[in-house]
Amino acid sequence: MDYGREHSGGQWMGRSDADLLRAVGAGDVSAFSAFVDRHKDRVFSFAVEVIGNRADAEDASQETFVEAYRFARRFQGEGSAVAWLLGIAWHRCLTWKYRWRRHAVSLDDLPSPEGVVGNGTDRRVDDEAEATAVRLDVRRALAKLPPKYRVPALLRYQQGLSHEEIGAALGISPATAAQRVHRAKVILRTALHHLDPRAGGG
Amino acid sequence: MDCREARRYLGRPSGPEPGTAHWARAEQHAAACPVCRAYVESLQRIDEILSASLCPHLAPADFTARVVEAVARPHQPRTAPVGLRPALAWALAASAIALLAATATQWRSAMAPSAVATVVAAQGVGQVLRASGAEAAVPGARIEVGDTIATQPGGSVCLCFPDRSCVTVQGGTMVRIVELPPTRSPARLDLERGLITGRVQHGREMLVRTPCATASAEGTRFCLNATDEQSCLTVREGRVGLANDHGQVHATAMQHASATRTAAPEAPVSAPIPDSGGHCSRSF
Repeated sequence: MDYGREHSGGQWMGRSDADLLRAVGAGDVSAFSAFVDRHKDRVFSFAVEVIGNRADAEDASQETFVEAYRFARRFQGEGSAVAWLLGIAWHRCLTWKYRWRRHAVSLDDLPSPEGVVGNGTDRRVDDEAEATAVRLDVRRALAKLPPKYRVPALLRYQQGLSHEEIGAALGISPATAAQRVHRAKVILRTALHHLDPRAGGG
Repeated sequence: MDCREARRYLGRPSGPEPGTAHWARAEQHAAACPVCRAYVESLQRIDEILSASLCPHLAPADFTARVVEAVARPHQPRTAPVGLRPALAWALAASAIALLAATATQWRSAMAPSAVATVVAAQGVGQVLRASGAEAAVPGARIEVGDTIATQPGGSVCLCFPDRSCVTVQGGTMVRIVELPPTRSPARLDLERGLITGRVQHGREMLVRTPCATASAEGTRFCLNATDEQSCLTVREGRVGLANDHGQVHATAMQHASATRTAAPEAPVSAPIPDSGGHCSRSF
């Protein structure tokens, strides 16, 4: 999954996340701005899938970065800054969910219009509509998973984290993270069997 | 090792722990067992589907500026008002919960989501006609019961229903949404004129009424072309019924059937169907 939307960055362009967080810990707001720019889509995407609507996801993402700013000094530079950041995001999303009890995934969060509008042949529109329908199916199936399996699956497939990073983000061992991702896959195999004739139901 | 035991290990990442030998045995089993091999392949397919389907959402353009502004504000920790004792706080919380419980039933009925379909793709000119006026049928537009979708020649609009069934409204078509299926009832559409292609989820039903006949599709793919004089049905998958006051027929995959106002639907005939998503021609 590509979250490489590079922004202004300026002097921080090309510097590692650990470098940025060290500067943020020392109170450098320009480093923090570059850090937010680098990871805002990643955190926002994760929050949208966990919370289920864009408005609350925006607030939760904002709180995530504010918390990252406050606790930047705690990041030791060992391990993945992305895993550390998504660990914060997960806790902020949990807070939002418990605060508002909004569990449903909304259809407001369909892929952006430019992703599905075609100007070519009917077949292209049909293919893209089909792809959109598959994306909706996947998101609905994911939304029905218990958080215990859904969040590791999101971190794996949406964020591209390794099992070690998933473990670090959620405070579980890499083996447990791998097991939960696998379990999510087995459940989704049944839920999405209509997308793959080989899958069957059992 | 039997299939059940093998599946405990197949598709799961192995590790250096003592159980590694089990993976080797499970893989040996899968090499000789086509069912377990298919199981592993289906898990790999789920891997691919998940990786391809979870598209990123872009944060708003002013997100960074808002966050930076938020950290620049002094932090104000949330504290309980001075003098609010824990016992009093618990009493207030209990009262609030009781109040909420008393009105929960009313809330539930009030908050029940109304069924809506969503436009997921559009091309050319398409409109949603409703009592309050007309609006463009653009991706993301919500379609409710009673709305009519009208497309101009060359345009098309694809709708996704709450039960994941999809209908593509082709150019020069007018179709009204009569009922949407959040419940067990079938989706009902009135196709006044034009051409639609439908994909109905397994276990779900869709009824499409045309001036000459009504088509009933269950877990299938079909297309239906309606004019004032004739309705033509093409089935790509499964089985679709076509009925009017004079009779009823069932068409199966790769068959056409048609009906007029004055006669029973004609017996289905087999015919090649284009591979391009099952579009019917305007005349058979």
